[in-house]
Amino acid sequence: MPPKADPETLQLRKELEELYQKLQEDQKKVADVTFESACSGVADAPKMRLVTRKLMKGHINKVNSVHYSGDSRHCVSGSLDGKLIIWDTYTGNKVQVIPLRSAWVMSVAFAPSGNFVACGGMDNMCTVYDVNNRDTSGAAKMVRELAGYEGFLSSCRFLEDKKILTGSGDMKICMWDLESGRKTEDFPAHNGDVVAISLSPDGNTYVTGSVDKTCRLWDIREQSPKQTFFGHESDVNSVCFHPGGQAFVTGSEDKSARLFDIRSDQQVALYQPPNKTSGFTSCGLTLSGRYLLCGSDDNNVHIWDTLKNQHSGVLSGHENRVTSLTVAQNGLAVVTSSWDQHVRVWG
Amino acid sequence: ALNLANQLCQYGYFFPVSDTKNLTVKDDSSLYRFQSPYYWPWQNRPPDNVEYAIYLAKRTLRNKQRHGLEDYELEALGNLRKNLANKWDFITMQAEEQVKLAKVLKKGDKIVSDSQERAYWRVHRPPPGMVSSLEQCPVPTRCRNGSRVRKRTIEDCKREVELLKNSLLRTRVKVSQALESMVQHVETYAEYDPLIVNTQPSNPWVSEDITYWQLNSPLVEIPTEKRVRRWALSMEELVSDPTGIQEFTNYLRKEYSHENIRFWMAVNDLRRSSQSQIQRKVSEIFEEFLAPGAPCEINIDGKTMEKVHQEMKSPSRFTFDAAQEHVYTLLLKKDCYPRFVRSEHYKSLLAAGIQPSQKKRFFGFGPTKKKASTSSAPNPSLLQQQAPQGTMVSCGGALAKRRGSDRSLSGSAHELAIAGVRDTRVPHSHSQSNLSDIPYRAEVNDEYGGTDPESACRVKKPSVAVVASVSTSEDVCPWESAPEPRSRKNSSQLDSCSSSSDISAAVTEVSDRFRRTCGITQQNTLDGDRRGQSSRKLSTASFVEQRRASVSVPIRHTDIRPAVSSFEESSPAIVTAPVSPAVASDTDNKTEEFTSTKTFKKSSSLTKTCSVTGANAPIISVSSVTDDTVTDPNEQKEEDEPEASCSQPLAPLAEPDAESPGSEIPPEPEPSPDPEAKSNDVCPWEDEETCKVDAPFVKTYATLGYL
Repeated sequence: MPPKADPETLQLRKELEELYQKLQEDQKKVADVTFESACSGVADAPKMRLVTRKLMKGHINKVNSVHYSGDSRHCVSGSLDGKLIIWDTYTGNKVQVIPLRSAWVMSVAFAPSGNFVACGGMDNMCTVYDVNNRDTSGAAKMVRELAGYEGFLSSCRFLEDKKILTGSGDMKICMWDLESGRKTEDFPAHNGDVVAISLSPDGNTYVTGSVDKTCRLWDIREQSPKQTFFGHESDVNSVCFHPGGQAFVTGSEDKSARLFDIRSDQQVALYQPPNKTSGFTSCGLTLSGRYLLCGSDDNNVHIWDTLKNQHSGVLSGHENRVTSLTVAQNGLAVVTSSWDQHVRVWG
Repeated sequence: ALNLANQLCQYGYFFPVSDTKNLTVKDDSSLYRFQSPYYWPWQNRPPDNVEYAIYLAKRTLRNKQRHGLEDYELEALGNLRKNLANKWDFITMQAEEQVKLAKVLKKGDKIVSDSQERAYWRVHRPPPGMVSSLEQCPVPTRCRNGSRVRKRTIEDCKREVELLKNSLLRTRVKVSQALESMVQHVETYAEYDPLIVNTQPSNPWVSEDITYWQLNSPLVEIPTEKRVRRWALSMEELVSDPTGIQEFTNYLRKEYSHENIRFWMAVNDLRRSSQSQIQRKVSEIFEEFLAPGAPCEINIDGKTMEKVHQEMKSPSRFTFDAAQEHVYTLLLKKDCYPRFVRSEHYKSLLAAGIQPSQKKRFFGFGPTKKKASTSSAPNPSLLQQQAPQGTMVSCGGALAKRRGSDRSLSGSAHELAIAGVRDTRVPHSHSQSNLSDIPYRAEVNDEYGGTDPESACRVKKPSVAVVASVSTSEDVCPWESAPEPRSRKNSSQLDSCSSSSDISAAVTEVSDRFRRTCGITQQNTLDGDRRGQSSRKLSTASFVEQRRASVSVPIRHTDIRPAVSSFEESSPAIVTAPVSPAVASDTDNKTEEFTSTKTFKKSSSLTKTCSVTGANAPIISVSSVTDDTVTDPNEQKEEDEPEASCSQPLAPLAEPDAESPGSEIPPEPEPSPDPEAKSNDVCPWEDEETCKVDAPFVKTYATLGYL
């Protein structure tokens, strides 16, 4: 907080506070049932038995990010060793290794078509590679280097082959047209670093999570947020849209995961592990949205039954913080990456 | 110690004398030299671009051989010259001076200082792709943000206030409702969630069976039943599945109302097209769907139309959004979609859907599709394939596996694309009933299957030989691996037969023969289709003779003796086939034409065939033709025409057959080059994979080795 705030700021702050109160009241008004009672009639979900199907070794430093391709079979992982590796998750083989200009990768993204991968990090750039073309050295061809950020790049997602959406440490969201290599949109999004982006199933909206403890819902065509969601007490590290498109889950540094509903504009459920010891770095939902998976600092992936709000187990195997988690589009498998230099496929 | 030494080396405290390229310490007796303290990194002199420029310029001034610049250095020099243009004189001057000074030095000293300098820049300006250990971790830069945040607080707050005010006005749905719909969603989809319900046929990771991938690839001929059921859940489900869109379009086409879905797809395409094309595409769409009296005018209300007209003044990706929305919600979703779900079409799709839970394996992959598309006769083979397939996998061994990993996905996509195109071409009722019949017919014995093509071609007494050869040839599971050399040979045959469809009769024989000679392979797939056609065309003996004459030439060219001989064998058998009615002869004329052109082309372009064959090695027969088209667009075009012309007359021929009671749909001529062209469009990536066909294994391993 600024040491000496001028009256105008103070007044605004007060106004904010009031508005926030009012908002909460409004939210309460529509909260006519509790989550538990609404979901009490739901049958127990069959137990999910996930085991490591493949342990994919190849990185020689912390793996920071992983993302599935739209074919539900290939995935890309980015590591601090300065490499992107594209894996065939079924065989566990490396399909391609892409050496990077900068080793500080924080986020990777696979285009839904499987034609491009993008990565970005503390080089304050988003770099896009064409998986199908090789340059002279045999590595995937760099298509674009998208520079112009004032902070590190924390997240990127392809809208389609030609468009990419990025969130960065300068609190902005940018949309790039890859064909021309030009920024088509660039606007301040949060009051803190944007950390995570998740596209809605229909591709018209997306949710961002930020270290300002809020999540925001955006329309891809607009520059102002449609909705803001409060509730977390610390950085939101990860967001993931519910496959139904009307809700999303978040994983946060405050050692909890939450379910927000878009139509009722509020948090509807709070998921906490039995011993609240570690924050969450990543989250994902299964195809039906019944199970929530959260990668955690305690080396495990926690699973909840979203409707029953029961902690239904952990996936353990990683030997260090789980950094990223991605669920295949067909729901068949989950891939996690970790600081222990491994990438695991669970199914 | 080695690691420590390596680290020190990487940080530039000392460097290898002999090796200027790498900064690693090896445990051998090579020499290393300490960097002069002046260059040590803890001196913390940030490397200066001017100095770097001087250094590079200096090196250009000297002996090319020893001081020549690397590519990346040349590039860097070019950039620097641009950026430091105003200082460039100074830089060159400095460089010249330093070179002069260096000349005064003793030779030993010169080498030492040279190498020191070089190693220094090697550390500070590493070649691309190498990670610099000196690159600073940029994390601390975050603290800079602090000041900026504070400066903006007021406007941030204002924005925040605005936002909150707005959100106060928002109407909210009751939580109970929201939750209810969510619960419902979860429950509906629970059965499609592979992590909750067991996947059918089997989890590929558990069973090492790639059927799952094949059945669920984006475009399939016969979707699994589950998938079809999923389409009924919501319109979104349907349109998010390429196969779903396709079936939906087919259905609407049958109802003569597919302009809506086409408009919807065109607008989707517009959204994804490049900026440069937008203007053109917008006007195209307008001309086709919206302009008064347009060929496929869509029906939207006046208000939306007005909006569109307004938007048309400044065309953009989103010009037609309003109209699209209108079409989607009002026409497609509220009207067409429910009708689709209730329609016979959908029901039959559902009935035909593959149920992988059955132990029987129906492959929604290559042959199944192809066969389904052409004739029903091959169906018995589906059953038969099961046994041999197992053995094939094992004998295919490593090859099959590799394929599984690398190409199974892409391969299926190919096939799928083709199947898809076929669907759109063929009058719908045909493929429809065809599909629905398949699984059941398959269970019937061979002979029954055999009669179908008979009835289709109205050959009352089908030559037993043909049927037999069919069933036998189908024994082999085509898309499973073939040993490379053999498949190459096969594919050359394939090629010849795919281009001149008439040979195919022979090819069935050939495949038979192949089977005997432990043969294998994909060829069968093609045979499958072609046989269907050919059996129909086997009308007159004389015609067969002619055909043989024309055909044998290219065959010899493509160096397939067995094919020729077996063809000879088969022709008598074929000759016995009764003459078919006039319609067929009409077809024959056409095909005859086609054949001759083909032959001509074949013989004239021997080399082409060879190259094609080489590329054909991969298993998926389609790819062979794909390559064909890729390597020779011209030829493809030419092929296109005759094919089309021959398919035209065939279609009517097929029609009456469809009506004949109990009969399967007659084999449809497959306009093969066409789908391939399409498939190129559909999955460029996969295509590329197959283009490289011969190389890819090598390539994959190369990359693996590189790891």
